[in-house]
Amino acid sequence: MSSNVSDWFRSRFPVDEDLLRAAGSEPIPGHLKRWWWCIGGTPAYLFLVQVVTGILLTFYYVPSPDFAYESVQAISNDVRFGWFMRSVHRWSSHLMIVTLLLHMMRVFFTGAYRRPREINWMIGCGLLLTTLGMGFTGYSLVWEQLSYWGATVAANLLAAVPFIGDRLADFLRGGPTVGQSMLTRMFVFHIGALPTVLVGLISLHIFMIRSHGVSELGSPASKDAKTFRFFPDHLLTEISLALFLMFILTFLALVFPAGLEDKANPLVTPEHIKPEWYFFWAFRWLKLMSDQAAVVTQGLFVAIIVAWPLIDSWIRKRRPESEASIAFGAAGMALLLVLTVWEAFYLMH
Amino acid sequence: MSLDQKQKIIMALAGCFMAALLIVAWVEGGRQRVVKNPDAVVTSQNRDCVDCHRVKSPGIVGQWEISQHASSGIGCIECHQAEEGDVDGYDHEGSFIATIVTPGDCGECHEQETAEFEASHHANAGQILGSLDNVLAEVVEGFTRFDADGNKVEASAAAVSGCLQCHGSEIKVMADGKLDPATWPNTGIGRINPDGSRGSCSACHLRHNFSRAQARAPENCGRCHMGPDHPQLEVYTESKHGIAFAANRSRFEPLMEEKDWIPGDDFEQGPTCTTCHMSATKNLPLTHDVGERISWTLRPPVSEKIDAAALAQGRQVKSWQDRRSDMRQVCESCHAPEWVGNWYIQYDNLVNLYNDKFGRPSTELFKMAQSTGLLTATQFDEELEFTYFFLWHHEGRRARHGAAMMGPDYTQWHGMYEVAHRFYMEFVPQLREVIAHGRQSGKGAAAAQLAAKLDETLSSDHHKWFIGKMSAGEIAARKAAAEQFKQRYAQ
Amino acid sequence: MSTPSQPDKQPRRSWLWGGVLASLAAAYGTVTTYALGFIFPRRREEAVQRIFIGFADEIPAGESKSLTLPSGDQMIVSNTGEIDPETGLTFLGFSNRCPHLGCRVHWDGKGRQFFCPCHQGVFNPAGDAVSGPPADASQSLKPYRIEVDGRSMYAVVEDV
Repeated sequence: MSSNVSDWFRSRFPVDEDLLRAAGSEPIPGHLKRWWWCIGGTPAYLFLVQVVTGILLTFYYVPSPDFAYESVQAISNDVRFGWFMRSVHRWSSHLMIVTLLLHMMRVFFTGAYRRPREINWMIGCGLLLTTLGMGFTGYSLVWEQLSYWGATVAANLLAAVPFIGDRLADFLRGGPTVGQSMLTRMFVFHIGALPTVLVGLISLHIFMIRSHGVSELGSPASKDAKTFRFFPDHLLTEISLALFLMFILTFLALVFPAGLEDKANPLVTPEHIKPEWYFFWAFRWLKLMSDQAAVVTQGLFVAIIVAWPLIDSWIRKRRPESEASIAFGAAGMALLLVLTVWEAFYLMH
Repeated sequence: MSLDQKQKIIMALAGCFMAALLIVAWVEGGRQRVVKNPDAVVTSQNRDCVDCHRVKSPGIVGQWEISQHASSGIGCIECHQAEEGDVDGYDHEGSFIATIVTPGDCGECHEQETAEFEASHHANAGQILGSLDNVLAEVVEGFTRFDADGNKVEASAAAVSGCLQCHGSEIKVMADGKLDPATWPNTGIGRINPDGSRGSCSACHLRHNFSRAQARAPENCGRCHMGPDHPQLEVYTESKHGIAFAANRSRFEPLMEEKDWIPGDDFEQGPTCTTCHMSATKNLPLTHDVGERISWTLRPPVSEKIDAAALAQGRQVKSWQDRRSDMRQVCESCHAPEWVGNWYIQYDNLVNLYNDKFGRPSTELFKMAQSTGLLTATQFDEELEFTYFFLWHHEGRRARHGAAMMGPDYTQWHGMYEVAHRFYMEFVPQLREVIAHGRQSGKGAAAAQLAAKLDETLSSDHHKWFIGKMSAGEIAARKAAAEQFKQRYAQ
Repeated sequence: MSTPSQPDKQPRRSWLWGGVLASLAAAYGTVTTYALGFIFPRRREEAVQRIFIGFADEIPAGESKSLTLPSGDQMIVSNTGEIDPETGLTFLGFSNRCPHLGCRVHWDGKGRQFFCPCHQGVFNPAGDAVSGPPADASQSLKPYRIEVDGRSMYAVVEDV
């Protein structure tokens, strides 16, 4: 009986089973038994959570300044499990960025961006920037006071970019002011354009990882030198992580459900405008110098991060045993941390 | 980690996730949505009332329909039903009802509010028969007819349409069961009702929609608490509290219908009358006893602390310190404690100034003139009586209310300036006339006694400037200041 | 790490796998039902309304009171005189429409039962029919929840 069923499936889905088995038993380097190394899959899984909860939310969300806030209110108050889906979506966005940054730190400090994986690092940077864009566009959709005024500040920042600043600001706003046009394009970015870019980049990123193979740690004499199977061993690890994340997300949604501040009011600027926490560093940096200087230096900062594999190889060509990358990485992280905490403290008082 | 261990971990994590999801379901199930603005529910016993009155007096039905009572099915009969033996009950289209709904009726459901109200000074407002104001309304302005046994048979229209509309009439049911027009319609706050209860809830909670937002609006209290003798509404409007409320009113108004309107929590500025005098704060419960947070009584010729009269009669009441402490808690929703403390010092100083400089001296002088027979026994037939009345009852109160509720113009130009003017330009000269008249009409001893008292008063530190006895040092200082002032303004 | 499977380990292994799949299915299945609940709009606004019945002391033990609800249904509130262990009240609220053919039932205080005069259907204080045509069809009166706030009694009904 069961063989008839499996025959039926086999003839209709003619998959090369040997290929499947080979892919499943791909040897994973032993150090991936360590949980710290599995962080890469975490933002990917959280992206899936975002897609599912995001699609659900789109059933009720209305992208118009007259209805956006009210539709979010309705989701939180009236729709069955609305508060839950919205809270999970919000917390998952925070966790996605946190785990993405952790993954990036792991990759950086283990030098996994080095030859021949430079391009994949850059793809990863693209993923980070796109994810930050998802966070920004997503928050704009709620049309709270901080959505509106945060968008205003962001557009003003873009306008400070030399030469093309005004064009960029107009592009972001869909016109000269923050309003319906901007909300529409934030919506399109958030549910269409950026997720598509993310899916593409994620696929490329994973393909490149598989092509190169997961980079092995330096010292072959370590007890982690052995490999283990992807299926079922590593998969179970990933499933455990996924379940853990689901539990954490549910817990956070229960204890800290997503709230709603005042509705966006173009006539009243709140006392403290603040972006989401992951932009605190940029906001604080902006307060230390002119808009133009801030934008240019921030652009440079991002460019350096993206091009780091090339810079690192240039350094090590001259001094092969140099640990400059670690030093620069630590310094860069420290700077970001200081700026973020500074802004956070400022806002608390 | 072995495969087995991983599998067990997964099952454990799935269990945790599942448990959290069950809590989510429990939370979701517990979210009972209450209908916002539900339709009015007309129950069977109210069906006929509503159907007929919707045609005859559609405003009444319209008011009721938007009320919270209506959405709970509390309609006409529930409030207007009369018991056997009610003197104001009558048969109306098959139902035995009473027109007037008294605190006794409202208190069937709203027990606490009614109890607090009955204990308050508002409930006493109708008992003003012996007051000077009543003499004015019934004798001086109007006409009241008494029969041979001393019963009032004709009321003063001035009282009926004036004083008693705020203070409350004593409802009289005539022999034919109808309500005496001299006593009804009336929604005065101290109305004396046929069922023995005192007051009228609809004085503040306009029938039939009984809106909270309307009860919290300053104009509501201002129906009575306004005017030359107690301009609370005007003082409030002048004050920063009033300005803050006016500036933010349109933002507040939809929210003021909600049950909670807590200063500091639900709104950040612009308290109204109810906020300070009645409403719940973060720490204090709502009270319908409007005296619970008052420390001074600003009503009498000489202000005293609000518990002084009760203590003198040997009654135990909430001390003025406790009341002030409660009021301070309200202030501290928005103001720092030192701010509040300093303000109370300023307030106390103004009341004491009025008391010491004008209130007490004028009262002692006036009482002496009365008791020594220098004035006729009839009240308000002599100029001095009106002057003294104005002094404490009008501008004296204005000054004190101005200080109490932060209206500087009322404290000064509508207040102490006019008190001073009245005292020096009218009260003192008129007193001198009374003294002179007394000497001429054979009451020399009384006149001399009064004259001595007047001299003593005018020689005191407060008043010695008036009789040219300001100290040389002060005169010189004032002259120098005046010179400097002239130089700045040329005129 | 994989080890060659030993015969006596085999059954335990498949139990664990079964356990893993079952727990995953249960957990994800649950959240999927929530997602379905999310996207299926409520057919009726499951909101509640409180309708004033009267004062608790207006209905002495053994007596009852009727009122019409916004839905048009009539409710009978009876005072049994005994505290119901589930609700803690001596008051019961039911639709007074007999499920047999729609006549209005009365409350019989002495016998502590609801009685339908049309065909002598009898219901116990729990609203279940105990004799007459409704009992033959195992029918019950539709219950309404009662809330007491001080002296005031309210019927808790779902908004139509």
